[in-house]
Amino acid sequence: MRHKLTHGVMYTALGIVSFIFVTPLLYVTLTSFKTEQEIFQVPQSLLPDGIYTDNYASIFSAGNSFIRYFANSAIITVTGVILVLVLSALAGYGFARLPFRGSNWMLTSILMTITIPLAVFLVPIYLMEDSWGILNTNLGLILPNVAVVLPFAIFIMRANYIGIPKELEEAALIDGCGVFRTWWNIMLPLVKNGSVIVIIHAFYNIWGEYTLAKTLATKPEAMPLTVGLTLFKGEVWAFGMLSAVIVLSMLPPIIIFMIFQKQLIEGITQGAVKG
Amino acid sequence: MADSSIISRKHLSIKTLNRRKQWYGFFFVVPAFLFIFSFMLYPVVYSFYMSLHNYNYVYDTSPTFAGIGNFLKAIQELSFRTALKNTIVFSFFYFILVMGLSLTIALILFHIKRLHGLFRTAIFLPIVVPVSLSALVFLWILQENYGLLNYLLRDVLGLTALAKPWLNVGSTAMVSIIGVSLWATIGFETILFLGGLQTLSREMLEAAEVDGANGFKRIFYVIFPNLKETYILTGIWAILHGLKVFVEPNVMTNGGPGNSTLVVYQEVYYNAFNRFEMGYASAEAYILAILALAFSLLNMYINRAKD
Amino acid sequence: MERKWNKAGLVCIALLLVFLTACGGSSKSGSSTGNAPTSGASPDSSTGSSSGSSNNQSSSESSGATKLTVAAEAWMVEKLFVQKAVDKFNAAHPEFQVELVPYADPTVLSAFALQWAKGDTDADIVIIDGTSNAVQFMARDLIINFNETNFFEGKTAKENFVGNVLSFGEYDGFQFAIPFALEAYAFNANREMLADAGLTDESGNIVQPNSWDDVLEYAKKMQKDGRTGMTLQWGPNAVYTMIASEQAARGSIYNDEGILTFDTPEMRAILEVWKKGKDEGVFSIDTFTNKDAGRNNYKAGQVGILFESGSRAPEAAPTIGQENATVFGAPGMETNGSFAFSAGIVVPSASKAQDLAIKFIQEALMDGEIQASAASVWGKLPVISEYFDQIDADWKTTLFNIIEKSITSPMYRDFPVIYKETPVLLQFYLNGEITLDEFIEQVENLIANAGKSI
Repeated sequence: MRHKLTHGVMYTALGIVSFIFVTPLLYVTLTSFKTEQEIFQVPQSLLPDGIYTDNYASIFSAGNSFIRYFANSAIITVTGVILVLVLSALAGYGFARLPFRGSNWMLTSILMTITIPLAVFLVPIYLMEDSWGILNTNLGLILPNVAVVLPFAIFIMRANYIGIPKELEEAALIDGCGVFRTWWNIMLPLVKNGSVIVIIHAFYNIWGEYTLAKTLATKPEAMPLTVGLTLFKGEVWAFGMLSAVIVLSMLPPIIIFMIFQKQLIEGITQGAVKG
Repeated sequence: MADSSIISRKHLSIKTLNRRKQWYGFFFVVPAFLFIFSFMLYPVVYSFYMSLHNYNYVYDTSPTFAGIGNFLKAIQELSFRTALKNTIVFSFFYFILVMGLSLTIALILFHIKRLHGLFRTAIFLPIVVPVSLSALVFLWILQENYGLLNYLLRDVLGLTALAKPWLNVGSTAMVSIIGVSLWATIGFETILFLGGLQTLSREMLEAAEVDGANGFKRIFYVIFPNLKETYILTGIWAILHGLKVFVEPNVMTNGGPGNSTLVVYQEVYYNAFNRFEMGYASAEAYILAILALAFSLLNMYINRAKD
Repeated sequence: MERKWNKAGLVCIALLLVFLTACGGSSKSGSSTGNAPTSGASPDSSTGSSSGSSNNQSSSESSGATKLTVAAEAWMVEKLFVQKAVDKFNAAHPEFQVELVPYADPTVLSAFALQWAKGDTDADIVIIDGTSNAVQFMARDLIINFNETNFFEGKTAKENFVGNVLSFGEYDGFQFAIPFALEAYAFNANREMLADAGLTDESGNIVQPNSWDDVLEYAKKMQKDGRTGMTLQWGPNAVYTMIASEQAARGSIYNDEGILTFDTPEMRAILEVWKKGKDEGVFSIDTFTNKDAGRNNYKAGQVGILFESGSRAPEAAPTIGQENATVFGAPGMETNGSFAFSAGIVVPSASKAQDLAIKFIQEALMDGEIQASAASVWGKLPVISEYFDQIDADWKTTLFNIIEKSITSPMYRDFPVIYKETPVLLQFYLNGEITLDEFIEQVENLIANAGKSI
């Protein structure tokens, strides 16, 4: 009986939380189909009167810019995620299981780069990229995004490696298996969990990144989605337009999440069936 | 004879192993380290240099040395001190709430048997939206007259007394931005906690049950103490996110009403891009950075693995 | 074994992608040198405004330049009819090629400034939201002085500009910006709500309140049925509301030494009425944290009078009705003017197409049809007097009269500090946390400590 009660409470709690998390997004989706009249009428109506697609139409009719913003975002994000994954998988193991003199200092200095507000880096990064000639390019956005996302990704992988029992690798190493081979064949497969989290962390942070992109991609053809879509802001955001913009920038990550749901959930629950 | 030589080749001495590990360790870490620093070295050096100088990049032709002048000026400026106070208050409540709520949700998700996918999707959904956009949505939702929240409270649920001017009164403004920040980030912290929970070995958990520690007892005495690495991870993330908060107060309350929700990052941004004072902005940024680093290191120390 | 190939494959793909973007990325954006604009289409162009993909990088001498890049903040493209201006010009002058490149928000201006300081520029013309945001670029001669060009001839001669508008873009004899899209603070009204409260006469015209106490009465009468009587801009732009009120009440915002001051009997009286209105709940505090709350409420038909830029009324016409959206002056405005501001058109000194830029500004941006359309639809008023006649709205005479005598904010180097801190202090005062005397004292201190010369 008590068991059933606690379960009931748990499910209710999750239900409430889910409701709070999802409702604003649902509201936004509904609003994206409303006309400006409807949005401004008091009292509010939750459902739109009809499906008004002008908000979306005006975003797509603006030439093929939407596709260009999207393509930029896609390239920047995918490349960035892959780079982050590879580099953090290596470095995470190094910090977790291969101590060397100065490794703690290196870790701390890496941590330090993300304690400083990005705002004061904008000007020097701008000057740096200008002299390298990579302003307004996708590469020019990949590099800083990776540099900003990598530190925490390293921490995630490090934590994951530490969670693996030492015996597994000690055995392999003593048996003459090289460090690299141990890492490649034994450790990597076991950190699917961490890899998935790193992918999520990197993907969402790079996809939704705005500050760097705004400064380093001032020409519309180089802008990623987050900046390109703000060009649709009037002097003040028209809420209908804003909703459409949000829905469009939400859809790709959600679709990817849905497609890879199985792998993602497996990745996160991998540890549970271990042992 | 032949057997022993084969054996001695395969079983390496501990000393060689350690030395080899050290070299490998270095090489494993170096690519990432180089990547980060070849990109960040100039910005970090530049901003540190600037914090010790006065430089208005629109009016001045070159920086003038100021030593710790900017730092002293920041501490004495009322606006900065207020921002610092607000930031610490925000971070304090944000940290406790995000850690507590995320851990609770992760534990619940860990224990339930059905509807995993549904709940997980719902809880992870907010992190999909870039926070600058979701803050705008909440700005609309929290409006007193035509906002969705008050509409629900007033017209649907009849709780008129609760339909407050959320963003226009000091106390509720801070609560509102903490709330929105939580909405946007609990999903990710929950993922981190879930990941940590998954690394707990099945044997340990089952052994605890056999020993008579069910339910809550198992949570408190077995699970909690073994999540130290996860605390480091989630803790650092929460500390950094709390101290560096910018989008929510900037978009939703603009630091108001008055300056009750003004945060340090806003001051840095304003000084760097509205007044073009690179030096002063950098100094303020470094004060924040030192705080963030200190708390992060403290977090790592408290949760250090006992070898 | 299989996993090994997967990981190796991933690494190879990563490296491949990095190479691709390094090359592909730069060609996608057209060129890697900062200076040569490409012919990428801007988001709002319907038919091609710039021809094809030819990169007509002709000899970039300012006399022979045939290519022009105009940078405007994204919202200006539609609202100020800049896209239309570009299209018109291109159609009329096939030998020239003008391209419009929108930028996301004002902080991008600092990126421009960094470029200009090095003698480079991507844009030949930049339209900046607020001439006071352009004045700092004058300090190191990063933008040209229009007085040293042949701009002020013919249609755009100095006498043809409205009232004091040209001074909005001038400092110490240096004309750093040409004003564009004028706005003035006034009372935006919802005629229906006023009529409902008995504040209009038989022909439906609004009865002019002669003092702020009258205004308070108006607000009280309209505060019913869940609607707000009056909303004033008390948020980030609060200092403009104060300037507008003081200018209207006493005809000047400066003291005898020529320094900005709010310590005057007229201003104190107004501030006291504001506090009363706030305490009685008829002056809304919606704008405390959200500067657009008043505007949005007004558009929803929930506000009787909105004291903000007079462009709100035409903006709200679609939702509250053309006949209901109208503008009238605060007490004293018709005699003393109000606070006015405008966008500013600047030309970076590094531009290599300065002559063409000036021609474009004169012909395309200072075009009557363009300016009148922007006014009728969005309330962004013309800067050339005679264009006011072309506006299709009943409030045009009222606003014209007000603007003729209006002034803009003082051009102090540290005005951003005054702009940022005053609303904070005002909100403390309105919430009763400090007294009127303390408020005035602290604001005066703020002004005294602000660096004045640029």
